[in-house]
Amino acid sequence: MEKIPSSITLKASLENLDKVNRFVHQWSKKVGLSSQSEKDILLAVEEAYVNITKYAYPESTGRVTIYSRIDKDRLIIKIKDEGIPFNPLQFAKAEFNTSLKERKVGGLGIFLMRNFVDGVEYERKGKCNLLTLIKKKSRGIFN
Amino acid sequence: MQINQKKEGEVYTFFLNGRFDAHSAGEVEEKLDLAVSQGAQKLLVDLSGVEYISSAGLRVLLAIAKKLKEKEGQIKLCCLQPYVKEVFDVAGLTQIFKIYGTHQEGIDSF
Repeated sequence: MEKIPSSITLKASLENLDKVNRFVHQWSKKVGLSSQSEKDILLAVEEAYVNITKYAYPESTGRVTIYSRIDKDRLIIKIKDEGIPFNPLQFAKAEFNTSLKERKVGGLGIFLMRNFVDGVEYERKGKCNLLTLIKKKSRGIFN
Repeated sequence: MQINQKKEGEVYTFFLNGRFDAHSAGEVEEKLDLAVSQGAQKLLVDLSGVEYISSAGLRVLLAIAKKLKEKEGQIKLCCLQPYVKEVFDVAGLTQIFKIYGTHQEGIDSF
């Protein structure tokens, strides 16, 4: 079986999203995530990664490192960037207006990221943002 | 992302096939925008070939819906796969978009 690296470092750009997806896919298979759980973690990682490509480095290009490990029946993905401090957990739940006119086009990504994983942790360490996303092998009957 | 387009009467249907993510969102937006700028007012987006959508995809559909509303047009969706439907539900978009189970129901609704 092909050995999967435990981390990848990439230039923070949208063109690299496919590489990020491939890395998360390989680890999802390794931990044996259900196809639904795999989509959940792919979605959460995409939202976090795309945010970094858009906002972390406003004046230059920067790098992102994604680490992966398995803890019992959970896949743990850690995303590190050296961009401006950004804690996605400080955002309150988005208010979802049901009228098209009032409904804002943005702000959905972080909300989806938080909703589709089993745990999210954020830490600012030195000059780095560290975001951890945790996904269980399969969804429980209550979620 | 593969995008096919078909005109039936006044309804422009877009059949999307692939991942509707941040990578493909720009391409889809371009095609939908072009149709709207050329005067299309009734858009049906058939999502039967889409098994994954992220906020980038949702954002494109919302932006087009807003544009069309200003022009008194409408965008409707059909044939959502279960996971895509769930993302719409969580994002609170099932109340905003008119969503139909089959392509024909979508066409007939205009």
